[in-house]
Amino acid sequence: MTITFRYKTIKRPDGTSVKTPSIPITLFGKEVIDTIGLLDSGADISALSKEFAEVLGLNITGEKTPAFGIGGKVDAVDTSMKICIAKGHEKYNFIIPVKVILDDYDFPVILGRTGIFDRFIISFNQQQEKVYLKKI
Amino acid sequence: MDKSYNFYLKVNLNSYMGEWVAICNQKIVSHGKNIKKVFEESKIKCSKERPLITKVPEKETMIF
Repeated sequence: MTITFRYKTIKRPDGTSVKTPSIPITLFGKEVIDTIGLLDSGADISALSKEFAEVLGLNITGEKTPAFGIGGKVDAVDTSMKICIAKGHEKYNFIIPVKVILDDYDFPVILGRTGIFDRFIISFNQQQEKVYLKKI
Repeated sequence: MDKSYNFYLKVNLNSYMGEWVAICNQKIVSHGKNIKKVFEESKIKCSKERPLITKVPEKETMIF
């Protein structure tokens, strides 16, 4: 089965807008948080900000490893978390690896390829502002 | 979460750019730069429903 989500459009004060292929997810740590994950086919792995990981209650005491992105090199901790992607009667629970970025950069939850894109065939329809997830 | 997600899709969030927002009961119940405060405040205000908490990006988020 394929589940479909609409892009979210955010209008900026300058009149431009940004459209994001983001989907509702539930993340499980010591806390359970319903949030929005930004599907990022350019990301090797999913990523959370340190503040988000702390609120979720993930263990981020592991060894620091470097993570490289557009902004350069930052410290990160590799961990994992349970995620639920659901819509209607379809519900998928699984555990994915995640990088917790340790600097002060705060950002939405990023859903990268490892753990997500290898479980679903994901199609982006930019013109119709929809994203499709088909379970493999 | 379906109701909160549908509200999220419809609501104009441009005045919350760069902030975390918490949604439940089809309204924004808390917002701010500090997710811990937003999370704790929303848990109090959304006693019967788990809030939807998300960050409104200031610009395109491109990492890794």
